[in-house]
Amino acid sequence: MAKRVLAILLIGLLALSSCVALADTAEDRDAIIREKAKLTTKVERLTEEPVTLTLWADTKNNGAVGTLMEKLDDMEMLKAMEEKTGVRIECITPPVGEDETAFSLMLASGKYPDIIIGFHNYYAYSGDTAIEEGIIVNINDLLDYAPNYKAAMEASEFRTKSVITDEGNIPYIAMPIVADEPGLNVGGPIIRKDLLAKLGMDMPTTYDELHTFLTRCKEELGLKRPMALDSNGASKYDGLTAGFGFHLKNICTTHAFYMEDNKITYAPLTDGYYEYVSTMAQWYSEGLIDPDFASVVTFDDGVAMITSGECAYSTDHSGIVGMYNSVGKTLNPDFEFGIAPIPVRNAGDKVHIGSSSGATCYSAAAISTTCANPELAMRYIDQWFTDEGFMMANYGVEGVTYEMVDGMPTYTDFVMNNPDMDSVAILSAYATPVTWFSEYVGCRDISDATREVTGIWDEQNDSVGVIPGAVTLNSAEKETYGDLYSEISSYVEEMTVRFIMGLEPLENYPTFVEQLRALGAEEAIGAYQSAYDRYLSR
Amino acid sequence: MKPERILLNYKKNKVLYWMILPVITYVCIFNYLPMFGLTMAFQNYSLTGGIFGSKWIWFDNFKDFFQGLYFQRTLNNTLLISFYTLLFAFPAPIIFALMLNEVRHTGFKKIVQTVSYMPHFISMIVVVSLINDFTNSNGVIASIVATLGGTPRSYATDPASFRTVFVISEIWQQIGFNSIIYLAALSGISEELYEAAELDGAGRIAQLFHVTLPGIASTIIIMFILRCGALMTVNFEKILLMYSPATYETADVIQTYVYRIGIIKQKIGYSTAVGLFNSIISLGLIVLANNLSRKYTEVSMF
Repeated sequence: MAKRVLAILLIGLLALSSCVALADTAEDRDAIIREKAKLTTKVERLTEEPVTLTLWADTKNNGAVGTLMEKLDDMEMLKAMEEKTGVRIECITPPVGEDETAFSLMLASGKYPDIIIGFHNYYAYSGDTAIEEGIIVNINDLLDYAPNYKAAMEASEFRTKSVITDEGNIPYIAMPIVADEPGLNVGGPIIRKDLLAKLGMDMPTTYDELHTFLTRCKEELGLKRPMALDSNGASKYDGLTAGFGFHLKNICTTHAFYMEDNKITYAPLTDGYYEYVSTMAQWYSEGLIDPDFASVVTFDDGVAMITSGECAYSTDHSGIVGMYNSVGKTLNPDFEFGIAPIPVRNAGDKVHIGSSSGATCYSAAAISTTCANPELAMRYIDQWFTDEGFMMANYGVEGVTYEMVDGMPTYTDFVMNNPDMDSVAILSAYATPVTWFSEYVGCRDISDATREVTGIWDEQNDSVGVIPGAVTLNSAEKETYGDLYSEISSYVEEMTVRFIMGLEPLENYPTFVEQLRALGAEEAIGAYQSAYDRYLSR
Repeated sequence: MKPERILLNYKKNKVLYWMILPVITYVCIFNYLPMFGLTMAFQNYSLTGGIFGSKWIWFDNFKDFFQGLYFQRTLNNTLLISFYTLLFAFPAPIIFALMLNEVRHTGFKKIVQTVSYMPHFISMIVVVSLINDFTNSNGVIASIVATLGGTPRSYATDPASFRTVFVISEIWQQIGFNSIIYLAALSGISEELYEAAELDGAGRIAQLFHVTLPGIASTIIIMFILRCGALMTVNFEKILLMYSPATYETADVIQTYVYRIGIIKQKIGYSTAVGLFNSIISLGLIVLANNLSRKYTEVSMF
């Protein structure tokens, strides 16, 4: 054993590149992982005296909080890192489903934790603004403390362009979720496969087929609420809206802008939006949509609704499907949710927007200005980008979550075939949640469900409509946008629900659009357009 | 007052002054000091710049609110919900207390009192979950409507039912607890008055109108004045938990709007301005109610 370790070390030392390569294919990715598994770069001890850093992270999409562990501090990865680096991480875990409120309250309190994960998801303005306002530090100044991260970041032009802002700042330590293409879809439509089989139907691919499926679920199977919808009338990860050509809500953005022919567009001003709203209104009146959808607000409400067995179709994160199934099976042994294709107008249509994200989207950490020792925080995060850190973050604990098979780390049955727990959730507890900082590549191989996801959703969605995460507003644009958008979005949210529920007749749609223009929707789009133009000429 | 008089006064009432000191400190720290923050209403407030570092825009926030989409609606909703609460939920505990007062069986009376207090002590979040369970399309109310031949629907997301659901649940929650003060007032009415009335030939109903009600009138008026001051402050937490975009039309009040815009959307200056507007109206209302009461009933707080 000792000899083998030595051999691996020697081979690792001989490797010339910094072993951060670009992965275009599955083989490339395997090669990277094999290289990393040799552990050329190790996690270092950073301090002799024990030091504590505080960290805030959301619990959205983290299936492990509340099931496998009580709070984020219980993560095995954090404990292992503490042992090796001497740095203790004290996590601030917001209550499940309360991320947004918890973040705003934290910001308002003026007491920031040392490291904030997912800052860009909740902060209303750009990273440049956050630096200007003195909330977070410019990573640029600290980059020398993080050689491993720096190498990973500079490994491709796409990455570099994604993390550096117009003003030359680096607000976040960010990594694309899968190597370099911004293309992995993590969420979308999900469907009760057992009901599909019971009805003897093929997988619905168009809106019409979906309509037939939902109608039959209602009439033949007596389901009371065949389809779930978010309380604001949107669907998670644009699962139901992408087919109408627009983006309304996904994980990456605080706004609902997207691109059409390189122009920034806002859905409620487009025809597709009217089509969506009128279709949903019709389905709602036919009783195909959960009549209580507008009051399903909390995470628990949503789980209860999906697992009640009365719902056959929803949109969600692929990682949560396993949990739905394990809960649903306790009531009905046949209960099985699986991934469904994104519905489109005509079979075979492509969609341009969905749950896939720009580079800074998925994993990004910020260091706050109130951090007493930003150098240490930076050096600590850098340890996650060493080979050893990479292995821990992606694969967890050897012998528990993975084993080495011919130099390739392989997930154990505990992760892959765990009857009680979803794979992604297990890795969130033993390795790292997908939203955290790290070069995250293992995700695609985690479970059958996930593999199926990449198959269906990735093929459909070419993601050209996604505004790159690195498009950032300058102060003037920020002011225009900030003043206008909050009112616009609450107006849209309310009106969408009202149209769908039939509380507002569809004849009033032109008035709605007029009101949006009066509220300054076009100026808000303009702010993003000029930021985008600047990004293109970077 | 001359200094020596003050000193004399202090020496005489030393204990009283020391007793009130903690209260004065409390009011200063928690009620007066935070008023400094109202300056945010006149600024384009930035979280990190603070009050000294933010841009002054004077009345722009107010102008935005008054000319905005939601001024009319939030004001209407606040006043209407308040008005309905005043109309139905204010007299309910009084009637309840009067009814309890007529009950002679002490054991039964105690059980009723205890049961009616209970909802007051249930956490708001639990109460709202109960309300949601009752009013959704699968809930008790929808089932009852269905068995009676009506078409069941979701009352939780129906803007037309929001106020009704809110006020009824408010009565259920508070009727027992709010009746305590009236019961206390009722027990203060001398038995001799009743005996005298009986001798004069007054029946139960006449006694109620001529002895009982005048006996607790001052309590009712004080409670009414206090309630008027709170006319603009409806039960904010409950609305926040109960409403959704579908019911904003009838449920969104000034305070929930302030919360959404200020805390969630981070427009702090603007939401402070809206909150300040709310407070000014409240102050006006309480002064008005107090003056009216002083004029007509000679009972007033100040």
